[in-house]
Amino acid sequence: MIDVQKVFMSLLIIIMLAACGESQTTVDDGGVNATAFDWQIPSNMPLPIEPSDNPMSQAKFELGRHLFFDRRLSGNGTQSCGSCHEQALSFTDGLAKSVGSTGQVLARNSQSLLNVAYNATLTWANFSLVTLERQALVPLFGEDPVEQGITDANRDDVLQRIIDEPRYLSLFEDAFPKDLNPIDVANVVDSIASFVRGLVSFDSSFDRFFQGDTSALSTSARRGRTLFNGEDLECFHCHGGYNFSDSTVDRNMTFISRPFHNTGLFNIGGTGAYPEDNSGLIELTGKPSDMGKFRAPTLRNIAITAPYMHDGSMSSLGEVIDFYAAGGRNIESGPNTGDGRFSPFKDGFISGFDLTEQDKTDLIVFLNSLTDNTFLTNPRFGNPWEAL
Amino acid sequence: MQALKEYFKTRHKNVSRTALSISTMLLLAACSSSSDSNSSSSNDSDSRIEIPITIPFSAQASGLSVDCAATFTGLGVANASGSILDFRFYVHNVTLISDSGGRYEVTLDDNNYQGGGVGLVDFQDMDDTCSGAVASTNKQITGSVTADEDVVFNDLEFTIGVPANLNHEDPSAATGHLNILGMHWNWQGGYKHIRMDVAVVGGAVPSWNFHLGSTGCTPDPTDPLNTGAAVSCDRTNLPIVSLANFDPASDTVLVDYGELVSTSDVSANAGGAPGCMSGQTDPECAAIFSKLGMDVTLDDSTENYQSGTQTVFSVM
Repeated sequence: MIDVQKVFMSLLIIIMLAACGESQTTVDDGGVNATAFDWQIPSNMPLPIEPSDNPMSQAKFELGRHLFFDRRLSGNGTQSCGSCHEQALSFTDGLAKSVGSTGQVLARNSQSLLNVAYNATLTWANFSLVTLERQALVPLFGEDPVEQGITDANRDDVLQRIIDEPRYLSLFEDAFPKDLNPIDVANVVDSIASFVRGLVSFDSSFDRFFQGDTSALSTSARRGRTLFNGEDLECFHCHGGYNFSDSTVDRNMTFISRPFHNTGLFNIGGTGAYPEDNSGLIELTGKPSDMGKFRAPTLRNIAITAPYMHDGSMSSLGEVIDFYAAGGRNIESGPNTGDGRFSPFKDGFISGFDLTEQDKTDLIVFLNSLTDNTFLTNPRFGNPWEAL
Repeated sequence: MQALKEYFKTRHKNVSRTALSISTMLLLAACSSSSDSNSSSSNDSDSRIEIPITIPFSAQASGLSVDCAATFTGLGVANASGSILDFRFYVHNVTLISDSGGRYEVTLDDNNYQGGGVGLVDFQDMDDTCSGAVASTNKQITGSVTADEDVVFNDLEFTIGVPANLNHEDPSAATGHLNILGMHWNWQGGYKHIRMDVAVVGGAVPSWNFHLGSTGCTPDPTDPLNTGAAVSCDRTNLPIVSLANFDPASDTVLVDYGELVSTSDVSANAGGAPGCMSGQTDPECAAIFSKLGMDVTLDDSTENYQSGTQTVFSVM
């Protein structure tokens, strides 16, 4: 397993380096490069999968951007997708746990939407959700927790608000030219999914380094990278590959893996239990061994997306590194008392490690090199209503 | 024509031969007028006719009919009182069984509550968890069977829920009964097959909910496009209801909510989601599932997963 990962990373780097400076050759690649959308990603990166029933288009992306940031798209008109996914925070909200439109505090931390087009599964722990079209239904229409709070009772009112906004008709007509009455819920969902699918980011210092700019990574960052990919820290097992997550899918892949991991955050009462409202994959499967299993998120823009973990329970990267160095979290008092280091369900790679202060500094410098500042300010991804 | 349909609805027993003959003649006349004159039908099919079917449903608890206004008493082991917030369920594979053992699957009519072979039975007569405007209900399943004109139906069988082939379609693109947000179960990628939510007086939670849905649903792991198509579920949770001695001309299917929760404590939350949301580890699901003849701990690969006898549905 370890060797396979090493080989994979090596191959990836070779491919990345090989792509540098080469001219593009157009071949019939069975759809690997077929798209009507200008993804604006480096040519050495694989394109995300586009659903055949909702292929990407600039018009859908643009419509989706307007809908994503539109507070009218909630039951009480107070919250948009963008309320919990702010561009400046890499499409997170900076809170430990997000708050829905009716004030309900969610169990989980708002995740970055960066490169979610490459996620093999969506949300923190759900193997049933593999398309953004289906995932978008959860925040829009979910009842528990209530996020945007659109219900059967207010759905017509919400749609009327969209119909009444003069900017929308032409946006919908451009995005869905074959539809006689294009403003409907299905097209709202497909457009938002298209916008979120288009939120791709490959312009960090780390990316520039692999595109040939050897000055893009400092000595400290390079040292941190070596630690990250080393067999002492084992970070890369779950956060490997070009998207720093082992739950990654793209058009070049034949075999898709959809892994989930327990990192030893909780071990309530020594049983391995996680808090009841947020126990991970077991909520879907009912299998005891799935207790506390969550999908490894990308580490791109990780310096921007504090607080960390599925429950937002860690405030800094230093705290996260200390947690992994300890091989789990020991909670000594309160309702969640228990030593996560000895959880029976903990992933085998979370075994702890020793780190000098310099090592820790280098690792954090490396994680900071994964920040794509362009992504945080690019008007292509920005709120179109802000100027109003 | 409407009168004829109404007539057929109640005609299966206690009707005179004369009336039957007349109606058969009317049907045959209608056929010949709408098709070419070159009749090649066999002798077998001469006596087979399309018979309209209506299967009425009634829901009760503690002797009261289920609607938003009713307050039930004596619910469950804690003798709790409560009123519904939501009370709906899907059915499919509706089949009548004749006295000679013939199985006749009812072809469901297409209307706002039916389509694709699936019907929604709905007792919630006010919108927005019984707090909003007056809402339409649907207390019957209608359709037709093609059978010998003197067929006598003895039994009824149907399956609760949305069948697997429709359960994972895009609900936002569906219509009518399959595009009701309150019946979508998006986080599990399907529908709520049953939704029965009850506000319990003095209860530990705002509502004690029963949501039956398919669980452990994963997309085809070999699907290279990650499309989410070809979903399979560990537990489809589609209980089959078999009712003996059911005469569609005179009988009604009774749904007994009091029986469903008779061994549950609806005034408390024993853990997991309040009530039972089909979680295998939810301590409240075992009792509810057993009332529907299912074992929550077993998955579809286990033969005795549905070996129990449901007691919630009966003939009235």
